[in-house]
Amino acid sequence: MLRYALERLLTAIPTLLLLITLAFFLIRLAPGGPFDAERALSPEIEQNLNQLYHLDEPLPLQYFRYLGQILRLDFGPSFQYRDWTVNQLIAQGFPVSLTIGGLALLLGLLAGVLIGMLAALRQNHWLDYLLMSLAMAGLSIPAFVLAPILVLLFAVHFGWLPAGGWEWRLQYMLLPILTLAMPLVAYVARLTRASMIEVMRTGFIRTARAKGLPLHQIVLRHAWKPALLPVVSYLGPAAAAVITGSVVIEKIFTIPGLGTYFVQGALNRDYTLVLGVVIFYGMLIILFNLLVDLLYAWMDPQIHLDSREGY
Amino acid sequence: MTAAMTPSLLQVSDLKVRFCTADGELQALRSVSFDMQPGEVLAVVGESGSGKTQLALALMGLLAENGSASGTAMFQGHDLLSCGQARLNRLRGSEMAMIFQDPESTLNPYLNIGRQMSEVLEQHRRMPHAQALQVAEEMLHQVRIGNPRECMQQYPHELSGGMQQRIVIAMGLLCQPALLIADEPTTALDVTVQADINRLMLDLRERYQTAIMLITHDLGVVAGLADRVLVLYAGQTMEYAAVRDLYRQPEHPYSRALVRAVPQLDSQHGAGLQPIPGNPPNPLQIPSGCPFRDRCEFAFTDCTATPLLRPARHGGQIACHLETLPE
Amino acid sequence: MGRLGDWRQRRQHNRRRSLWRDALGRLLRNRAALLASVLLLLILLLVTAGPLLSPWDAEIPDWDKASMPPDLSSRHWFGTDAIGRDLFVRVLEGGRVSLLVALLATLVSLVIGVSYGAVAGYFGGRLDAMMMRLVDILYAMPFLFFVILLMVIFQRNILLIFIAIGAINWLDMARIVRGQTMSLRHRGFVQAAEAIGVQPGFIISRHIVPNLLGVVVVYATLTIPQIMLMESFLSFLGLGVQEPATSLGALVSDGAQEMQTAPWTLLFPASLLALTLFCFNFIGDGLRDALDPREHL
Repeated sequence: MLRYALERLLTAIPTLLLLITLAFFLIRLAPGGPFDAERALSPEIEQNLNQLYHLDEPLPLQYFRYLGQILRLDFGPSFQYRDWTVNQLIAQGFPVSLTIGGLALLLGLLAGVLIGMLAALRQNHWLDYLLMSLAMAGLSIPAFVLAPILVLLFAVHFGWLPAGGWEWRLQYMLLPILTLAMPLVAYVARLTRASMIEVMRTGFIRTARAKGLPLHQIVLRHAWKPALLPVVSYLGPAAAAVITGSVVIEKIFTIPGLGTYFVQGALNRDYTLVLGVVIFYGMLIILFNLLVDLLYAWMDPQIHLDSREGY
Repeated sequence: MTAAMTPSLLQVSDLKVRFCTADGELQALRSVSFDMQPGEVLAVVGESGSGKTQLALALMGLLAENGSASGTAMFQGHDLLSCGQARLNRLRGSEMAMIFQDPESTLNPYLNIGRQMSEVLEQHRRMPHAQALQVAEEMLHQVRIGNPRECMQQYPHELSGGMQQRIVIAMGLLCQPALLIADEPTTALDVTVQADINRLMLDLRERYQTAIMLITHDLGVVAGLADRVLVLYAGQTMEYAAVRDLYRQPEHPYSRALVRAVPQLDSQHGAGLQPIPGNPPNPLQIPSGCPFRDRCEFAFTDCTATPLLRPARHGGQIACHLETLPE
Repeated sequence: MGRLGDWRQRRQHNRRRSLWRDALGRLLRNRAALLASVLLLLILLLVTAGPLLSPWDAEIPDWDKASMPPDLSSRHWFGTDAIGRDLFVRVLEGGRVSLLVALLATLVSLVIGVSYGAVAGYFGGRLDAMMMRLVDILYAMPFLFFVILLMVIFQRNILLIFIAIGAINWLDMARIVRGQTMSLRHRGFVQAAEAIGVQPGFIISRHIVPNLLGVVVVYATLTIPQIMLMESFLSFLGLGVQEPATSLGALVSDGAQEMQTAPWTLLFPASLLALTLFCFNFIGDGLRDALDPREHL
C-alpha cells in the first residue's frame, strides 16, 4: 500500500509540471501585453510595469522564475487588482467555492449512489424507468438552464429563497448547491445502476444468495464495494466537473467565489490571476486524484497485482 | 441403495424450468422427477445444455430472472419451489449448500476468506464473530488446508484454484447441511487436483452424513462416487438407475453411448472410446417425440411419439420405446 | 447461464446472422432510442431549413418590436428578443451553430482518439505504456480552463473553439479504441495478415479500424452532447460565440437576463438545447445497448 502510494505520488509530479508549463506558455502566446487595455499609459510607465512584473526578461528565465515561485506556492501579484496578490484573491474566493463545490460533490455522490442502487435493485420496474428518465433529463439540462428556472420558481414566484448574492447562510447556498449537484447526481446514478446490475449478476453474488443471506446483507456486505468502484474512479472527473460547473453557477447567482474572479480575470486579461487559478485548480485536482487512487487501492485488494502489470 | 422405507430427503416431481428469451420460450427442463435419500450420492449426468445446471439452480432458488420453475421439490417438509424467499433463505447455506463450477468466480474478490466463511455461521447459527472465525478455521483444517489461520486472512486471488474449491466446499459444509449440490466441482481444476477434491467430498460425506447431488458431464468420475445416476438429455430424464446397473446394463441407447464414451483402462469394448455423433437439439425448438431420436442408431417409427418414463428391468426407470436394447 | 450462453453463440454462428443486423433489430425494439432518432432528424431538418419559413432575419434588430411575446399573426412565432430580432430564426440559427460546432469538434476528437488508441493498442508494450501514461497525465488537466485561456488569447474565434474542444476530448475515445484494438489484435484475421507480412499501417487501417466502427459510433454519439454542453457553457460565460452570430448557449445567457420580463427568450433556446442533448443521449445509450449484447440473454 505504501509503495503504491509513493508510486502514485511520483506520477503526480510530471503531471504538475506539465500543467504549469502548458499554462505558462499558453498565456505567453497571447498577442499584445497585459496592459493593452489602459491606453493612456506612457512608455516609461509601461516599461516600469514590465520591469516590475519581470516581463522584460527572456522567456526561459521568466518561466523558471515562475516555477520557483509556484513551488513556494506564491502566485504573484494580480495584474488588474493592483493592490492584491493572486494568493489573496484565492484566499478570499476559494472558501466560498469550496463550500458550495464540496457540498455539491457530497450531495451528488450520496443521492446518485442511493438512486442508482435503488434503480438497479428494481431493474425494469416502473421505479427504475422513472429514476433513469429523470437521470437522463438531469444529464441533458445544463446547469445554466436549470438555474434560471429554479430562481424563477423559488426566488421570484414563491419568494422562499434569495435569487442570488452571498451570505454564509443556508438559504443562499441551497439553490447553487442543488444546481451544481444535479448533473452529478444524474451521472453517478447511471454509473451506480449499471455497475450494480453487473455486480448482482456475478458468481459471488450468486454464492451469497446460495448462503441464504437476505438481500440487504448481500448489498451491504458483498455488492457495495465492487459496485462503487466505478464511482470512486469517477471522483476525479467529478471534482473537475464541479469546479468548472461552479464557474457558471457563481456567475448566475452572483457569488463572489474563485470562479467569478477567474471569469473576470479572463475577460480582463489578468494573466497572473488566470494562470494562478488554473494552476491552483490543477493542483487541487491532482491532489484529489491521488487521494482517490489511495481510496481505490484500499477498496480493491486486487489492485496491487494490477499496478505491477501496468497497462 | 438405501432401504425404501426411510423418508426421502428430497423429492422432486414434474420439475419444469422455462426461460423467456428474446427469441421465444426456452425449455431448459421438461418434467424431471427423482428422489434422494439422506446421505445418498446422486449423480446427474448429461451433455452441455441438458439442463443439469438449471436443475440445481432451480432447487436452490437461483434461476436467472427470466427463468421460472414449476412442479414440486419437497425438502424437509417444504416445497423449495413455492416456499418463498424468507424460508428459502433459512434453508440455503444451512440445510442445503451449493458448490459451483468455477471457484474463482464463486468467491468474493473483495473480502478475505475469513469474513466470507464466518458470515454463514453468523447468519444461520447466530454465532458471535470470534467464535464463527474459530469454527471456520477448524473447517478449513477439515478440507486439508495446510495453514488455515493464514488462509483466513487471504483474498481469493492469492490462492490457487484447488485451494479456492476446498474453501468453497468448507464454506458449504459449515452448517453441516443435509444436502450438498455440487455443480461440476472439478471441471475448472487441474486433473491432478480433481481426484483430490472428489476424494475429499466422499470423506466429508462419510463424516457429516451429507447427501450429495453431483452434477457432471463426465460419467467417468461417477463410478467411484455415486450411488445412483440420473441421465438427462435435452431437459428430460433418459434413465434413472443405480450406478452399478447403469454401468453393467445401460438400458437406454443414450446412456449406453455415454458409458461407451468413457475411456476404459481394461478395454473390453475393443473399439475403446466412442464419441456420440451429432449435437443436442436446439432448446428453443425441441422436436416432439424422443429428443434423442436424431442421434439414435435404433430410432424407429414409434420414436416420433414422446416416450414415457417407465420401470426398467434393472429396477430403475427409462424413457425409451425400445423393449430391449440391441447389442 | 453459462451453458445456455455457449449454446446461444453456437446457434448465432450457425445462422450467420450478422452483428449489425442483430444490433439494428435491438435498436428498433428500443422505442426510446427510436423516438429520439426521429426527433433528432426533425431538429436537424428544422435548423437547416427552418429559417427559410420565416420572413425575418436573424441579425437585423427592430427596436419597435423589442421583447414581443410569441405572436402568430406577425409571424414572430417565438416572439422577439430584447432588441427586436426574431427569436424563431435566432434559435434555429443558434441550434445550427451549436450542432455544427459539436459535430466538427467530435470529428476532430474522433480522428485523434482513434489513431492514438489504435496505434497504442496495436503495438502494445513500451510504446503503449508510454502513450497511456500521457493520457493519464492529460486526464488530470483542468481542460475547460485551458480552453478559456485559449479563448482569451485568440479572441473567441469560433473555428478555434471547436478545434480546441475536439483536441481535448479525445482521451476517452483513445482509451476505448485502445482496449478494443488489443482484443482485435489477437483475432485470427489480424494474426493471419501479420503472418503473411502485411505492414502494420495497412493492418491498422484495413483490419483494425473498420472493426472498431461499432464502439466509435457509440462514443461519437455520446461525445456530441458533451461538446454541445461545453460550447454552450463557454458561450454562456461570454467566452464563446460572439454577437451578432449566436449559439444556443449565448441565447440562453441572453434569455436568462430577460426571463422575468420575457420568459420566452429563455424558454425556447433552453428547450431546444435540452431536447437535442436528450436525443443524443438516448440514441447513444440505445446504440450502446444494441451493439453490446452482453445484457441481452
